[in-house]
Amino acid sequence: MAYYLHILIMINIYILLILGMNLLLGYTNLLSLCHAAFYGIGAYLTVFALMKLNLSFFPALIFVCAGTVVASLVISLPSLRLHGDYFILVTLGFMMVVFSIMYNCVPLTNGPYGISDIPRPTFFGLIKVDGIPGYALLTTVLSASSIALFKVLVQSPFGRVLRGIRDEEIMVESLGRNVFFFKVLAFAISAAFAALAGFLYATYVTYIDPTSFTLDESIFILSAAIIGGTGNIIGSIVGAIFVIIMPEIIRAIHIPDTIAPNVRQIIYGMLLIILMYFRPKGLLGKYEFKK
Amino acid sequence: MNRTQTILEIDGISKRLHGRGNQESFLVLEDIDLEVKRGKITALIGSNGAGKTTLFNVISGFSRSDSGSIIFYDEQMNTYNLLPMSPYQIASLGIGRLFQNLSVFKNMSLIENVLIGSGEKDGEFPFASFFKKSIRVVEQNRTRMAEDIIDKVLGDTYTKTELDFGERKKEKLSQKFRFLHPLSRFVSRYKRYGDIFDTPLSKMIKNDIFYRDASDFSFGQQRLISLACLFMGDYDLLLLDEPTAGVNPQIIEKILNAIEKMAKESGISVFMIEHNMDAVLKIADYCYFMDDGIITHFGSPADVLGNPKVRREYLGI
Amino acid sequence: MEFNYLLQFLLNGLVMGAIYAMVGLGFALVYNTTHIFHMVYGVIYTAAAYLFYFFLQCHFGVLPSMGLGLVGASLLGYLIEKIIYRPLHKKGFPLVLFIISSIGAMIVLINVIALIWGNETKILNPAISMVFHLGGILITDMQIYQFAISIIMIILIMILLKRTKLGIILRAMRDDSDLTSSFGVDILRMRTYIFIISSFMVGLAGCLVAYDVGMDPYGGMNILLISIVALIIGGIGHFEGVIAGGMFLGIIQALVVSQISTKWAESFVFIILIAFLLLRPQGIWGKRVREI
Repeated sequence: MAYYLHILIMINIYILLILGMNLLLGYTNLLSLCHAAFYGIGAYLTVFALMKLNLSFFPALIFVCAGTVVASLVISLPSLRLHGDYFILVTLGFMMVVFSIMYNCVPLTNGPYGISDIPRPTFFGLIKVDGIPGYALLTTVLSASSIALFKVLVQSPFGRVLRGIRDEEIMVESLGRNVFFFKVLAFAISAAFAALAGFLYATYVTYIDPTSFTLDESIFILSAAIIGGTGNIIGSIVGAIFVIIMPEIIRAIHIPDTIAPNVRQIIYGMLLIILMYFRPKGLLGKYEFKK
Repeated sequence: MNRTQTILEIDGISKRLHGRGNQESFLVLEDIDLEVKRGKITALIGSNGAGKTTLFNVISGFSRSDSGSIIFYDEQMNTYNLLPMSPYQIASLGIGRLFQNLSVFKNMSLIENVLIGSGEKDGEFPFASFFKKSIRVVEQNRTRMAEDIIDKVLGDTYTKTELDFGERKKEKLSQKFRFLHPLSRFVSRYKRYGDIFDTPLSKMIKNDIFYRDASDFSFGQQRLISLACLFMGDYDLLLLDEPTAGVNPQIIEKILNAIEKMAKESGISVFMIEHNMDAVLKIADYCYFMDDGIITHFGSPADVLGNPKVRREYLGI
Repeated sequence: MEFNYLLQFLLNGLVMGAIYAMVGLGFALVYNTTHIFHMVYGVIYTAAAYLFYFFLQCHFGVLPSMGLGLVGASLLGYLIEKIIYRPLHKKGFPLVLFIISSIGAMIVLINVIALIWGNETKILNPAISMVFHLGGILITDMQIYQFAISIIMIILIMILLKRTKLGIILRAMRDDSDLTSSFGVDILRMRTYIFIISSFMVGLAGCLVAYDVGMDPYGGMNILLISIVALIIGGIGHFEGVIAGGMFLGIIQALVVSQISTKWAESFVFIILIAFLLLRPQGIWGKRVREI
């Protein structure tokens, strides 16, 4: 039972990560390779909030999301005006720099040794959420709320402008909307989703180290978002379920554990190649990349 | 004494494109001087590659000019130099743009394509409805205005199949949700939220055509959709790049009538690039001829198109 | 003593810089002409090294093994163009899809290599390199090979670009690919050549470095990233620029290793990338980044 709850918790965490990625790729046509950086910044800020500042749940959450949003502004403000390919490279560079800081700056982040004994958060200083069933409930509530928030966001006038930017950025600009500003906001919201995921991950596993927040992880989240489908919500949910269940399926068909990660990656890579040619919008997605 | 006011004054605009490697650089725009009069339709004609779209890009802010100035006069006679401004600022001043090769937002529905052009930009902020309760009303008003404009502009262009399609879908949805019919009071209150949340119920209530993907419409209809989008905005000056290109005669008629109506009834100034000489002769008040980046002729359409040099070079007569 | 120490690192940096310049040039060859972000480029570097290793294990001899490794790399590049990029090109898809597909191919190939040969670093040449003394500094025979061969390759490619008909066509493609095809140039065949040549170059680098220090399945990522940074420093569209960018990166990395530490050397490259992207995205020699 605890095993299935664990799967549920991880699915919930990844729904948050993939929704954030989907907001960028499927709703604003921005490709970011630094999503895992915000995931990691969220996780490390959580440690700071809970262990150094001793904040309770809601203040910690606000602190973590706000801090990650500020980090997102550090790269989005100077670089979102640049042509698409340049922005992708900036996110790549940012990802590598953030990872490097996480890994090398031992006084700040304890480097490769990681941080353990992360406490579970308490609500209003009284109720502590502990144990796997508690966490299953917490993550499910948070991910369901985030899905609802996401739905409101993309169907709102703001979401409409984002989708316009996705389809024809220049036309949106010529309709008097400051496209740069909208992109910065989308990027910030996406970072906030990733930060929330980082918060949940750090407090669930109670141990973090930089190896969870690498370029590979960014690519993994990107793949999950694309496979599930971009441009709608169900695609992100399916993507999360798919990538969390996949390792279990591989284990079930008796592929040895030593090569399982490689087999998994090969499957994802092949899916990306096949989908890009036959079905760019992903399995259940809605956004047809413009021809 | 010139009684008609100027809305846009272009002075000494030049643009040089740099060649790569062994290519020479050349002037795509050379010392352009021209005026667009308020409330009038001004045409810009010339052969392909003459620099017309580049000029429009410079006015709209998408392209840099090497020298000169572009002054916009708003209704209160305030002046703005457009050159240092970014495209969205220029559009916010009241200058709209129709692009030559872009018409609609392909992954959005018809109604969204028009709504996105709304001059009323209130509420285009994340989670705006949580902060300002009035956004719902604003959105409803916008939607109503968009539906109105769509009916006027596209209403009689729907083919029978499209209308049938809409009716059939409406029937199907109505059947599917017939268990909710007794709750009609709930439905009408839900309609208010339906506008924001875009559920099947609201689609059932409204005309289904509005929710069709814009890419499902014909090219001519798409051109009309982009005009409808411009009508949603509050523009003083419209820059139209080949509004009638590639479109069938029935719709050309509609487009020209719409443009004329805008100028004569609403006082909107129009500056349009056109290759369709009939259209120019029909509705334009003034005409500029551009050849290789230089304005060489100006006058009434009849004068310019009657000029032997223009006829020889451009019309090949 | 201090000066000698610095000179030693500078020499190392120069040698690596030549390698970086060569791989950067190969990457630029693809990006400047086709605007494809050839993410799988790094893996071709790795694949060449592993093929080299494989044939060495089959007792083929150093030069034949390397030759076969290079053939393999070129073939891989050709196949990737044919199977992955060309179908997308024919469908007229936007470039984002190419990047994602390339990432997919990269993931598949890295993991296939890891599956076949394992994750550990493999050593190709267990023998100790011959060392030469140049004044107070040392240089190994492998370093001489790496430097010389890279420089020769770079010169050859630059001659190709500037003097031959193919080169003129490639530079025309960089400027305007639609226009070029309207002159009757078989763009598809040009793309094939581009990918074969660039794969050969990066494969050459892979073999030269692997023979010296060994390789692992993930080393190609670093090379990809270096190529990208070299391209940005030099300026997109500029072939001379990326060569200078690569040399610059090699030397800077060596300086950082000597003055600060090895662990920051890699991240320094990315700090340079971000600095350029934010302050001077067109690179040192590029033109101002276009507005639309």
